[in-house]
Amino acid sequence: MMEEKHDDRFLARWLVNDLTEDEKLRFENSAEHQDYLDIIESVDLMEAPSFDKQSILNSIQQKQQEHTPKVRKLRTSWLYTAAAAVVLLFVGFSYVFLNADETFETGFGEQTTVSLPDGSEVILNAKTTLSFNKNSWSSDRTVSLEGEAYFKVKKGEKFTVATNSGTVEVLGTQFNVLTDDKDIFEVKCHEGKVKVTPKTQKSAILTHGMAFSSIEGKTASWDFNTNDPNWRDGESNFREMPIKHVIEALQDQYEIQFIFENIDTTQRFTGTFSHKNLRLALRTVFDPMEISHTFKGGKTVVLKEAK
Amino acid sequence: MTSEDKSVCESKNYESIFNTHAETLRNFVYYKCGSQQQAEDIVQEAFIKLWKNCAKVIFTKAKSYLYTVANNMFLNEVAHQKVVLKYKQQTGSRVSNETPEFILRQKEFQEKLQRTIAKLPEGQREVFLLNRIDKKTYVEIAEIIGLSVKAVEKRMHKALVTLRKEIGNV
Repeated sequence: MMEEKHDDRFLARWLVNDLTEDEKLRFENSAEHQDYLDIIESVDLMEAPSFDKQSILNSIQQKQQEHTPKVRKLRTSWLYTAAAAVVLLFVGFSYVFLNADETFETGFGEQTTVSLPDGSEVILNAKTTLSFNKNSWSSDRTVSLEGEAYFKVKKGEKFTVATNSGTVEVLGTQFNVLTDDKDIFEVKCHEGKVKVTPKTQKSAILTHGMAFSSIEGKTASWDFNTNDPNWRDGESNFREMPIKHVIEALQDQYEIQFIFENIDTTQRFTGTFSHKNLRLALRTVFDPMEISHTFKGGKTVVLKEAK
Repeated sequence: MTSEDKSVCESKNYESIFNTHAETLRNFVYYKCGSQQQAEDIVQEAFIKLWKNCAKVIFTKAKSYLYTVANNMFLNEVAHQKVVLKYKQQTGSRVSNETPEFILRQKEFQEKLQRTIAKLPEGQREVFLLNRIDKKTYVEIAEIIGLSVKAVEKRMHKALVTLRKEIGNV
């Protein structure tokens, strides 16, 4: 028997019983019909390899947790909420009352940069302490300072530097503050505008390149070159500074001790000293002052009036 | 809530998608590559991808998303192996009074059929097996593969013609 010529979907239609009566009759009488029937009957006895749905779902769910989606419902009972609130309250409480002040300190010869919460930067010179309250920072930008620091203040609300000898207020600028525990207070404005209020005197406004000092009750103002090297470049400079304070600065920078033998510590020193070379620093400070310095042991220097 | 605005991100809906489609999806990939392990890996990856993008995929589109992702993964990485199907445990025989000779002949035929199915071109094999094993209609298969129903029917026809010819030759 001749094989029928089928269209290219004939067998597909046959399978779903979509042939015309005539087509069906002729096909069922053909020899190939039985072959196809055998194939279909046999295939229909087959199945795909078994599929362990549950174990696949489990491993998917495990991986899901690594890819937590962006939208997810929060399911919490009020009990969890209450527990969380109590914990939060406790943490918040201890945070506010026990941990409010952030303090930074530098050691001998050390400099460090501190970032404040608003992005302002403070560079601390050796033996300097800076502290601020990070909780009230957003409403009150105030830092306490003892020692010397250079401020780069981000624009914003009033920024205050509180020291033992007075306060410095700015809006966003760069300036240097030098202070010790009582009688030295010096502010140099590198950029913008700064308002300086010493403890005992009237306040002064400084702009770019202006400096102000209050030393042992005497105030002075002068101009300086903002491009001159300063302590941040490894060189401390002083203007009419009592030698006592310069000696303290040397101690802070080099971690050395001084023994005074009848010298006048109220003399004023104008000049600089390097942070990198102790011998050179001692010579630049003491030679012009006509003070002799001799080492006694590695860390002690004896100062005497030169003959 | 209509199925249009069901969120795939909700575990309940996600699991229902898994329960409805996982097995056919696995078989679909298996018919292509012939490796159970790889097919199951691809199913996992596809579902994880669906989860990662659950906010972007509409519930009613999840199915075609899964098949598209699985197909792309298959094209990217899978090495082809022979598709091996197994016979169902037959409960009671189709033909009574089977002679040993008949059983032998039947077994032989089944083995031939297996081999020829494995040798079918991938496009024909996946259509043929999705229809016969997973009992998918031509319309459903067309949707899965992304072809017209006519094209699916043509492949089906061709697959049968090829099978008959090859079995005669083997």
